[in-house]
Amino acid sequence: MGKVKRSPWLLHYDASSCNGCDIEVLACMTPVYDVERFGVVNTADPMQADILLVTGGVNSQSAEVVKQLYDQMARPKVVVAVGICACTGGVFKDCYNINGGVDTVIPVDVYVPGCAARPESIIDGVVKAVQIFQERSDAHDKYVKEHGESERNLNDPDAAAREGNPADFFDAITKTSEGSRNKEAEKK
Amino acid sequence: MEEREKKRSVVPFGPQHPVLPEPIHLDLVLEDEKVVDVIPSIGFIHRGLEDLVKKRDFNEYVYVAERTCGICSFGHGLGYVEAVEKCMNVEVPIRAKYLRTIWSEMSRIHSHLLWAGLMADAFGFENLFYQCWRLREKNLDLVEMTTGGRLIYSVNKVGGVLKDITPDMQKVILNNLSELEAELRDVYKTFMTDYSVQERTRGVGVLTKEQVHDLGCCGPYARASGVARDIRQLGYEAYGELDFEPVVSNDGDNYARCDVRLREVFQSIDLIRQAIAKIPNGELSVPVKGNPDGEAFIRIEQPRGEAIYYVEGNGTKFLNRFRLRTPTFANIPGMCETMKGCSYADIPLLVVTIDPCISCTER
Amino acid sequence: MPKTRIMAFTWSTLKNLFSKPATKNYPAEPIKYPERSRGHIEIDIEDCISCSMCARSCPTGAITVDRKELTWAINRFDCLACGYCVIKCPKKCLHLVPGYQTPEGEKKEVSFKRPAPAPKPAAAPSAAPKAAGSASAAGKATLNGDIVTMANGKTMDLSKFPAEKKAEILKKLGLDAAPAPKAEAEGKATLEGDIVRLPNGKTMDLSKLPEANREKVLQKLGLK
Repeated sequence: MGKVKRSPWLLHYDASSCNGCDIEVLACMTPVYDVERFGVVNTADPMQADILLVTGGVNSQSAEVVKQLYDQMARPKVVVAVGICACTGGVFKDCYNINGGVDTVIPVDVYVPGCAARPESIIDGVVKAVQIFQERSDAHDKYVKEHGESERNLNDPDAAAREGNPADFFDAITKTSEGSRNKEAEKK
Repeated sequence: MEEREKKRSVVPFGPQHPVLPEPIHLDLVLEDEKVVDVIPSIGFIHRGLEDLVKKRDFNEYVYVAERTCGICSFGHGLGYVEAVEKCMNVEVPIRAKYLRTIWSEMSRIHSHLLWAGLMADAFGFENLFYQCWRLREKNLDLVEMTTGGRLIYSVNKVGGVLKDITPDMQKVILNNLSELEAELRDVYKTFMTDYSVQERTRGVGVLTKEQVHDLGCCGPYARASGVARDIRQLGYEAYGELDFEPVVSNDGDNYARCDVRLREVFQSIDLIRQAIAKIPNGELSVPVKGNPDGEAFIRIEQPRGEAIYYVEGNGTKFLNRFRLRTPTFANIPGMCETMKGCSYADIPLLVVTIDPCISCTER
Repeated sequence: MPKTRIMAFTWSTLKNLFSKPATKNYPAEPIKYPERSRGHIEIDIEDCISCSMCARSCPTGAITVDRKELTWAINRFDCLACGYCVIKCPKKCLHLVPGYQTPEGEKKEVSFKRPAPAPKPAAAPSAAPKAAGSASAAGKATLNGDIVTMANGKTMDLSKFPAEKKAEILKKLGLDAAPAPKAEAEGKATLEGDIVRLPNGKTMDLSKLPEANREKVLQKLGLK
């Protein structure tokens, strides 16, 4: 796996899943498939987490919750969709209440297939996510070196005050991150 | 000195919380750290899978019914298949019945050990959580050896079963179960006699026998309050030929519920041994012709309690209706009742003691 | 009042501390699968006949079969590994084997193309002339009663198929103009006791059908 510089913390959320993949995610923390060997810790607080593991498809009620969790996480962040229900909707694609996989709501970086996904497969997915996370944090470090300040954190109220427009702050936390990132790009 | 007026505040609990992997939302009305009222709101896992019977034919629907829940998965596949078989008057061969009984008990062992781990985690005893799940992996190895999957077995079909347990596999099962039983005795002793476990579970969340009858609770939750009812005594599948008594405790608090569930694991190991000793030779399945027509109604004992399956066919290969009533749905009123008057820190424990399976409840 | 012990778990903890670790050293050591483990679907593409039974029976719709292009594609990020397609395949060319699809950044399909089937022999006489079957001239199939003798000598019993399927097959083979024995004058069906005789000569035994369906059939044929 190479050298691991930072130990990312995991947040696991179940959006309309049958529990199979969740139990396998929890099984990854147990002694037989220990994922803490890679420095990964399971936390319950979205603001302390770097990697979001989502299982299950997305229905009308859980869509808002997933979006809110994603927005509460600080950048850089990585999203892993575990199980076929999170990738494409799975067996429940034709159901009236399921909109599809998780990528209908938030951008996904790694897809882990399987029903229920094996713990070894989830470990592979998490290892890939850790590598992506390292690339993103290295890019962030470079930005700080060049610009002398941290890239604007969406949850930072002072940044909005610096911009001079309080409406920006509300926009930033109610829309998804992609929308706000586009706005940033337009301003630059 | 005047008495400070007690203010009421509403605290939202969930849908993302550390105690359960599943989303459930509770609005807790607190008066200074004592819970006065609980208002649950569910619907995060509702997929509407009962409606899929109109789009998938009755043979293929087994694969959807199994995925109602990942923990009680075998039970749901079994209940659906039994209901369709009753509707079509299909008689399953006796060897298939014994095999289904063995897998059903393995599913119960895995589910209760999973619960024991989550319960230990809920009161902070992480070492015990890891130990219970390590034992559970031994059980899952046996399941994977015989069916091919760890959680979703996919081994039931209308008319019988798809795979066999050969005599070699039976020897391996008996060996592994003996090792599991020996290690489980240690865990049971810790759960029942450790001082910190007892402080947090004795006298908490008490339900009397009358309350259980009024609220309609079922499964180990009711058996811990002295109600000796176990649906396996009806004798479906091969249970009529095996010898067992329901596991009952009389205290009705969280401690009694831990006791009942762990003793049921020992009972399941014993049932598997009896079934393997008595299993007859025979076919694995019978061919099924035609389409289901009419209604059928089946009850089975899931690890969490009594589950009811209803199936209605209309002569075509698509069923008209499939309805499933899960045990957690019957236990939620009991949970809300125990929460009134308890302190705020006990809420996660009380949620975990009913062994909630929200994805079964919401389908 | 049960016994209460302080630190009841100490002995087990010490035992665990000094015994072999329970962890499977996963990325360093490869996984050992049990024999029946269900991982992914493999196909022997040479035996595939593009009948699409697997695509129709898949609960998630992960399989796509294209008859014109002769391809068979599966989306491994959608496959349940349930094994229903393996059961339904008439040629038994699908297998459920251990081993999972590795996680990727995008979902993709895996596609296989089968070799084109050999063209039908043009003017060869039938290799195995059946008793009542005439030799097929110029590679055409012939119909005798309910038995069709095809250009390659194989026979097919049409009475095993339902009426619409039979008409489809006859049309495909160019035999739909074949005279139906004992055809009725205006093409009406007749009822003799429990047996219905259809205009195309086929018979149907109503006593084998459930009650509800019997009424429907008679109404449809205008016999009620």
